[in-house]
Amino acid sequence: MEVPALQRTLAAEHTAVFAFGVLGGRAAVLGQSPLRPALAAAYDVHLVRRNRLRILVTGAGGDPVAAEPAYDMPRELTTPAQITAEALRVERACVSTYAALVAATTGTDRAWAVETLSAGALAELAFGGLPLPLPGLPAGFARG
Amino acid sequence: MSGSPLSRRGLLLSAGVVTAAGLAGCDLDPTSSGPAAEPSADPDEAIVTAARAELSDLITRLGTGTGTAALVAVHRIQLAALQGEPPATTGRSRTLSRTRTVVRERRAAERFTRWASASESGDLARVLASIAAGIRMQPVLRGAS
Repeated sequence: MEVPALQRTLAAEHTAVFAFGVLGGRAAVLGQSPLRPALAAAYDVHLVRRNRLRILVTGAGGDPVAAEPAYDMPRELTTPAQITAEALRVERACVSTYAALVAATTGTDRAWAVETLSAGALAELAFGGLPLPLPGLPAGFARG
Repeated sequence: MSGSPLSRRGLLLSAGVVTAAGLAGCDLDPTSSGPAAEPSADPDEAIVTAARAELSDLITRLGTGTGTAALVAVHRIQLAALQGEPPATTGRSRTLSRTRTVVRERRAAERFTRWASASESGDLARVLASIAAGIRMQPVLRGAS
C-alpha cells in the first residue's frame, strides 16, 4: 500500500518541481517582486521533497517513477496574479496528495507526511491561499 | 476547500462504538429489547475521544473572547469532521488571553500531529493531520513568534 502512495506523491512532486521552475522563469521579468523569492523557495522545497521521496520509494522496494518530459501549464502566465494563482493551485494539489500519503503510510513515513502536509498548507498562504479548517481533504489528488 | 470528512462508519469503528460485523445490522436504539452490540477494543477510540475533547475545550474557552469568532468557527468545523458534538453554551466562562490562546492553539496543533502519527486508521490519521495543518494556518499562530 505504501509504494503506490509514495509513487503518486513522487509524481506530484515531479509536477511541482517542473511547475515552480516554469513559474520562477516567468516571474523573472517582474523585477523586484516578492513573488520571485517565494517561487524560488517553493522550488527548493519541492526539490528536496522529491529527492526524499525517491529514497523512500527505493527503500520500500519500488523503482521511483520518472518525471515526465513536460507538464501542462496554463497558457497565460505573465501577470503576478496569474503566476500566483498557478502557484497556489500547485501547492493545494500537493497538500491533497500528502493527505492521501498520510492515510496510506505508517511509522516514520506517515510522520513525515503529516509534517509535510502542514508545511504545504502554510505554503499556500504565501500564494494567496486563505487559512482553512482543512478536515476532510480529498483522499486522492486534487483536481484543478 | 470542501472535502471528505471521516465517514460515520469509519468514525464509529474508530471510536469503538460497534464492531465492523455488528455495524451493518446493529440496533443502536437504547430502548430496544434486542441484544446490544459489544463495543470493540479499538486503539483509536482514545484518540478520537481526546481529539474531540481538545476541540470542545478550545471552543468553550475561546467562545467568549473578542476577535475569536473566526477561530471558533474553524474548530467547530474540525470537531464536526470528527463527528463531535459542539459544547453547550453555558454562560460566561473565563476566556483565554491572547498569549494563552497562542499557547493553547500551538499545543493543540502538536497534539493533533502526534495523534495523526499514532492513529491505527489511515483515514482517521488523514483527518487529524489536516486538523493540525488547519490550526497552524490560522492567523493567531502565524502572527505569533
